[in-house]
Formats: sequence, structure tokens, C-alpha cells
Amino acid sequence: MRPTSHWKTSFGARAFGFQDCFFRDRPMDTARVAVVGAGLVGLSTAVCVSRLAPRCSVTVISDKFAPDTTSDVAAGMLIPHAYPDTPMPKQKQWFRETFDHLFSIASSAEAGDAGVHLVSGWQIFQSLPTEEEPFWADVVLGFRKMTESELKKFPQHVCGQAFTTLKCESPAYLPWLEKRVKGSGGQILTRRVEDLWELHPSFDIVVNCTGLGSRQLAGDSEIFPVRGQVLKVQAPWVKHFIRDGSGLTYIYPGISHVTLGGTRQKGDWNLSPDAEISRDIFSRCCALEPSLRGAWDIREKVGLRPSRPGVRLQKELLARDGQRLPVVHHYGHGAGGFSVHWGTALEAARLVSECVHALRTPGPKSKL
Amino acid sequence: MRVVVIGAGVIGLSTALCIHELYHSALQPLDMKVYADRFTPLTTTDVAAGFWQPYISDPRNPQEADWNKQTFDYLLSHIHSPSAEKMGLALISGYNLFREAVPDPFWKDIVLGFRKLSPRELDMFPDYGYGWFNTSLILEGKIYLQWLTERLTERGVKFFQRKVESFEEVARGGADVIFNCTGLRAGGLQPDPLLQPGRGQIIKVDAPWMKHFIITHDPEHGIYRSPYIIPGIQTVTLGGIFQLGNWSELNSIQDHNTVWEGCCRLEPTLKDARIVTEWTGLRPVRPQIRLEREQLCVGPSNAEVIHNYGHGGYGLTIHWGCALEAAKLFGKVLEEKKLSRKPLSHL
Repeated sequence: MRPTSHWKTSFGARAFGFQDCFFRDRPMDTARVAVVGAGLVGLSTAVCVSRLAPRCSVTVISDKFAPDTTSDVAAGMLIPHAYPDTPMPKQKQWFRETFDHLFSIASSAEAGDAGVHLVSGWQIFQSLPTEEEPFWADVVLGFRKMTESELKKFPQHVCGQAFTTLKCESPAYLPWLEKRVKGSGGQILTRRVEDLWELHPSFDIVVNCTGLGSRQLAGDSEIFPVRGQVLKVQAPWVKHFIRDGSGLTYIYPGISHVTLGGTRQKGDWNLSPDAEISRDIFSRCCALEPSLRGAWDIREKVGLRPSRPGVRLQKELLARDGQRLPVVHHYGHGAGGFSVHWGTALEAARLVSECVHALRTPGPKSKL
Repeated sequence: MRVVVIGAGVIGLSTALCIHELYHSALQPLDMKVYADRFTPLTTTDVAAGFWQPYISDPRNPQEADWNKQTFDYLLSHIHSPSAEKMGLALISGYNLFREAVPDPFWKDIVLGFRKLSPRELDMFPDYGYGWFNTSLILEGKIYLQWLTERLTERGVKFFQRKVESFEEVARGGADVIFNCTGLRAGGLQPDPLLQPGRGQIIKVDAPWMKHFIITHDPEHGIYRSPYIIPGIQTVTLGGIFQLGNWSELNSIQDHNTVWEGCCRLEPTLKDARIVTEWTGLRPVRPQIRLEREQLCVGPSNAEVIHNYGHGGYGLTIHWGCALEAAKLFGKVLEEKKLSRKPLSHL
């Protein structure tokens, strides 16, 4: 065994050279799965693969973990965004699976640890929306039109919808998912992967959950950042969410702070907060909820949404010099990551199972 | 015109503010004092969860329904003002749960967005088969009392810490009109067999993921005897105790367990909530609020007493409507005394 360098992450996980990933007592037919990326998508995929794919060992490999992932900037509200390239029934299925999964956590004793809770509020419109009811109206709870007296709160708006949905706070949810990965026997490694072939031959299957990183790692030019700036503030009297029209301006109350947003800046890679934008966000949110003027401890955050016309959920067989590396791509959730993550993770786990099955199928060339 | 308000809970201070707002320009000088033996944070108001909701049954006095509505509308009109946060005021939505179907409450059109619970929502509460969802208001007692105190101080109202033994003592001190806002201890100033303590015990916990109120109802046990969870601005109030006739202001372990177990059963996520504090309060219970005038013969002069007490567990819910009514009664007193130099503004 050649010497390996160790370094600690903020969670105390040690990083080893991949040689140490060999399980000495591993049965010969355990498929070694590497999940690259430890944001919401990577961790939830790792949990689903552990549960669903037959006889797999799972290792999550990433250079970033909570609270430094893109997921940590997001408020984690379950309000879906439409993917133009994905059929509506599929999007609804993903949302419903995610909602049901989080709903059962929210009602259990784990809710506090997982950072998942119910929140009610209003989606309001300055002009009549094109659709009467969004496709997800029957997935959330208690969806209905706002009454005239409720609308009085928003004099600039002509109509609105009231409902109860779920919120999932990254800084708690991601570590909770990590615990689940480890609980199933999975490992977590800190390492920056520059090329998916680095994972060969230590791993049999790679699941690529690198979000924007896929631009380089998978050579995908379809994925691009949509920059989002938010303010995380203290305003504990705010108990309802407010989302304006298209969702550019929003107020999302969470466990430890209220998230005020936002921006949608296509193609902008800048991770530094812009003071002018912060002032604008604050002003737009105060227009909807004047009591926010009393908010304190205002912190600016920036995240780059990994945007794509549709989520890439696809198998690919990498080949070079006679070597093969099955990859399951699972990235490109853009603004809708939290809303569909569990549904897409379940689907990714199914794709991984197919890869595992193909690996075990005897024959000179396994078809994937 | 010398006015004394006895009592510095929500009823005393809001009555004082309402009278001052409506009459200070008409009556110059208006000399107003507040006498109380307990001030915030030691009043009954300070122990309240701070939530707007009347009892679910119709009030014995139909006027109380109007006073509840006036209070809600008044508070709602402040929801967007910069004062809202300083008043301890915020919107909150949530659940009222029952084992079986019940008629809609008289206040269903006062609150916002009142509707019945859907089956999926009821699935969250396995012990209950029926319920309502609506948006109401939080009004935190401690914060509101501080805000009222500041507004009154700005207006030159003076506060005195003293235990009043009789109305006569206050009248002899020179008061023309006395507002009796003494809550539970009104009986000490004038016997009232209809007034009794409705003892409550609450636990305040740190559970910031709770964004909804959850109030259960058990017709067999009566109001407030079934678990309730009411988030405030910083903490969440857990309760479910109502003991008529119990004067003890000490926390009881048995009641602690009743509240804790009942609320954790209702909302399992509370099991890890950190307990911040625990309080006992004695609700000033009466079959209906005593809000009326009484003339006292004290030597040569007649002092007027306006009683405003007996608000049970719905003082914050009804306080402003009662203050307006007390102001109306005050107006009648003034008419009789012909002291007002300007036409009274329409109440």
C-alpha cells in the first residue's frame, strides 16, 4: 500500500488515497460506487443508492461539504420550477416523491435534526398568471385562492394563492443525509476530482452529482450558472413565506434565519456578494413585508444555480484504452433542486442498479 | 379631569391609551395615572401565549363578539406599520383540531382564510378527525405591555406602584373617574362571586421550526384543558391547563407533565425542544366581562368607576374592543359632567 496523505474536513472525515477504499472483507461481487459531489444531489443519491441498489458500497467524494455547497445558499423551499425539457408528469412525480419523503420526516421526531418543517404562506401576482393552478397544486397542502381580505395585505397585487409546503434547511439536512450515508456503511472522502477517470479502477460505477462542475468533468456545455444572491436575516416574527409572481422576489422563513431573495443572473460566475444588489433585494422584500425593516444580522450569500433545460439523468459508458467506466449522470437541477431531489435521486439509484446488473451479467461485453 | 386606571395588565394599559388618544385634546388638562401592584413582567398578561382567538362557543354577551372583531381589525391595521414588531404583533397561521365535526365558530369571518382541514392535513394529527385552518395574529403580552407603557409615558401618563385597597382611597386622592382594570383581584376591591381564577401553566420552549399554532379541543374537558402549541416571536408556548378555583401561582410538576406529554404526543418534533422557562398564570374568569359604570358615593363628591375586568383567557383577543367600550362609557360620564369643551369625536 503506497503512503497516502490525510487531511481532515470540517466534519473530521479523513481523506485517503483511493487504495484505502478497498474493503478487505468485501465480498467479490460488491459493486463499488463512487458518488462525486456532496451537495443535496450527491448526498441524497448516495442514500438512495445504499438503500436500493443491490450489494453496493457507496463512497461520496467531494471537495466541498455543508455549509460550503451551492445547496447551502438555497432556502430549500418546496415550490417547483418547471424544466422545459422534462415532461410535466415526470416533474410532478419527482415533486410528489420528494414532498412525501420530506413530509414524513417533518412529522417525525427527526424533523429538528433534519431541518425539515412545514411552512404556510402566499404566492402573489401583480397581474393574472397564465395558469389557474400550477401542476403541483394538489401535492402541497391546502392549496386555494387567497381571499379579498388576505389580498389587502398586498395592495400592489391582484390575486394570489395560499398553501402549506415544506422547507428543508441545508445546513441541517445535508449533515443529516451524511449521517444516513455513514449509517448504511458508506464512506465520505474529501478530494477534488479533476477527471472522472481518476476513479478507475478503484470504483466500478461513478455517479456524477457535480452540478456546475459537470461543465468540465462531463464536458457538458448545456449547463450554465444562474447566479442567485440572497440575504439571510434575523426576523423571527415572520412565520409565513411570500413569493412574488415568477419567484424573483421572495421571503422564506426558516429555522435559524429568514432568506430574502433574489436574483437570476444567467451566465454570471461571480461568487462575491454585490452591495447594490443586496440593497435592491432588501427593498423589494420590505415592499412585500414592511416589518422586515426591523430585521437584524443581515448576511449576504451567493450561489450559482446549476442550470440546464432539463435534469441530466443518464447512463454513459466511458471507454478508453480498452477500459470501461460506467457513469450515471445526475445533475442540472437549476433552481429546483430541493423540490425534486428525492424523486431524481430515486431515479438515479435505479440507473445505478441497472449498471450493477450489467456488470454482473456474464459475457465478454456487458451492455449498459 | 383626573383619571386613575387601576391595573397595568393589557386591559389597564390599553384602556388608558384608548382614553388618552380619544380625549386628551378635548379635555385639557387630562391628568391620567396608572396604579398597580404588579407591572410587566409580573402581570397575568405576561404569562399569556399572546394569540388572538376567542373561545369557540358563542359568548354569553353578544357584544363580546363585536369587541373581539374590533380588536382583530385594529391589530390587523397595524400589521404593516413600523410599530408591528415593537408591539409584538405578527401574523400566524395554524390548526384547530377536534375529534369530531363541530359547527364553525362565530369568528370564522374575522380571521383570514378560514377553511376546513383536508384529509392529508388531518393525517398529521392521528388523534383528531376534524379541524380548521386559518390565519390569525400573535400579540406577545410582554412586548405589547412595554409598547403600551412607552406610548403612555410619551403622553405624560404617570405610573405608580401601589396596592390599592379601596375605590374610596383613590377617590379621596382626587380621582374623578376610576377605571377598574384589576383582573383577577377585582374581588379585593369589591366582592364579585362571579369572578374566579382559571389557573394555567405553560412551558416556553425553543423550537424555531414551528411556524404554525396547533390548538386541540376536547369537549369533555373544556377550553384550554387540551394541549395547545402557540409559537411566539422567539419561543413556542406549550399549554393545556385550566383549573377553575385554583389560586396557586406555583408551577406544579403534574401539570408540567400533562402539558409536556400532551404536546409531544401532538407534535413529536418537540421532543428535542429546549425548555426556556415555565410559568403559571391565573386567568380572570367570569361568565361574561364586567364592563359597566358604577357611581360611588365618597363624601361630598361622586366618583365614577368604570369596571373593565373578567376577560378570562381571551383578554388580548378582546382588549381593544373593551377599551373602546370603556371610552364610550367615559364619554357618557363626561356628557353628564359637561366637561368636554369640544364636540366629542365619533367613537
